[in-house]
Amino acid sequence: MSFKETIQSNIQLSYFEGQIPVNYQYTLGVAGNKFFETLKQKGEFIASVCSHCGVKTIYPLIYCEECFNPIDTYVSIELEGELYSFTKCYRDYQGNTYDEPHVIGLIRFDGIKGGIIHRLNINEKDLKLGIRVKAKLKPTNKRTGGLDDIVCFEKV
Amino acid sequence: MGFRKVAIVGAGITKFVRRAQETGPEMSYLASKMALDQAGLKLKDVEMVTLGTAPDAFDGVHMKGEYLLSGAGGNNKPYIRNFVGGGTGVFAPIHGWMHVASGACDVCLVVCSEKMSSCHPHPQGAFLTIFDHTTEQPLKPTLIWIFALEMRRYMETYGLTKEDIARVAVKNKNNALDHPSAQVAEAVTIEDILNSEVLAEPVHRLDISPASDGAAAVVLASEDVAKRLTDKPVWIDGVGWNLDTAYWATKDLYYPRYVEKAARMAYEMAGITEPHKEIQVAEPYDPFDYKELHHMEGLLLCERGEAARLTAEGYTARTGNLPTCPSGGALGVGNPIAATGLMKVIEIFLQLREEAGKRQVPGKPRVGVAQAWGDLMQVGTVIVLRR
Repeated sequence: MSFKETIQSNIQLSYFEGQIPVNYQYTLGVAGNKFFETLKQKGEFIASVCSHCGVKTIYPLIYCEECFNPIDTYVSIELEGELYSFTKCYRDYQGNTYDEPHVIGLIRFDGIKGGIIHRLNINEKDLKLGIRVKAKLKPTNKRTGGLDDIVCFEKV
Repeated sequence: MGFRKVAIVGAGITKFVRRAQETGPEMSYLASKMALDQAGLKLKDVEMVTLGTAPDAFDGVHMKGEYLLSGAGGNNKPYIRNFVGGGTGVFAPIHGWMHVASGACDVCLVVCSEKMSSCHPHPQGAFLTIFDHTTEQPLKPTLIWIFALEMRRYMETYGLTKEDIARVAVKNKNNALDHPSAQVAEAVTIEDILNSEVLAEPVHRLDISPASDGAAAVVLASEDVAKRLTDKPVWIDGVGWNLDTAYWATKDLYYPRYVEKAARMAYEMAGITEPHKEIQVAEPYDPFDYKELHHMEGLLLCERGEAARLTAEGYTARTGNLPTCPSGGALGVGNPIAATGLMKVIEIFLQLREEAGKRQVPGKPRVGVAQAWGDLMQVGTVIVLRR
């Protein structure tokens, strides 16, 4: 066989350590900046509204995915939505076990395309698809303009 | 060879900037929408989309092609990303040409986007792992090192001075003063280039194009569709691409044979036998100033070792016999890798339509060539356009 598949330990083969030595500073984007600034300043979610075909989208976009026209209208929407799906997670992305399982859900909003994926803080007995949930936000003075300004979603 | 005729019927380009607020999909959208508007088309008219973008490590987004899909108008369409390093921006329209020339579709949107500013402290860090992990990476090389080696060998082979090389940066940065997308246009002099910081001898800071954010797009159409859309279609007359080994140390650093092979492929398709006489405007890839000279020779636009002399004599100025980089090139407009190559294709498109404004070269050019280059000094991509 061409591969040394019987060697079980890396150190039995010569190797060099390597890495890609960069980190990233992602801009929020034009629409993303509007969303997170509004969240930070006003404690509201906004959706983009296409003036051509009427489609509302969260997270907002500067263009309509449906008709490809530019968007310059954004509206505030309720912090309340519907639990579209959820999962209970036991390990993180490096394989470590969480102290407590993380419950993650996808929340959809009435009449809006798209949704928000976030943590859920909901009693297990209440955890069902279709229940109404609402975002719990950090206090204004603790918000930084990022996803963690949303603490979690809770049952209404 | 049985290919259908393919024309460029619309083009769009964002500003090239050091750091854009826009995300990659947002930049892709802005360029795509401009191209569609110029072509007089809606997204529903586009049958297929092809997208070019450089390494995922620049943007810090794996599956970058999929990430950019929505802004590039690719949702729910036959869509695919292509990638050949710095050669991507000219390969992307070649890839789009394949879609239309083969008869797979009549209208193809080609988009190139790059967001290099996410990468900190510098995209050079992302370049580190393009080098061989065993024989090169332990030295912690940068791309500038190997281009310094290439530039010195090129200068030595033909007896060139740094002034000879710097003239290209002066020409292109000045040309870019007339480009609305330009990031580093400047009325510089040879002294400015030579007095800028030395990064790796003989390469100075102003010998090099910057890192940039930006996007560009073109719409390609089959002959019937193109003639319905515009009375000024610009035909893709020839395409060529070629890759050499990644073991770059084995190559002759003074001459890019892979560019010549790509050019010969494109010229044969276009029926060009004397490129230095038949091509009237050129956009050779110029991420470094010496590379424009290197690529003029690889593109067979002049004899080997003659490009610097021709540049000094004004042959490649906008008013010269063979204007090169009338856009301002990567050195002046900026270098958001994949978008740069497509910017060059767009410049030839505009020049042949006589829509380049202040950048317009005289003489009503009918044939032009754009070229990009990249990976580990190993890829050439060439496209010939004809009015």
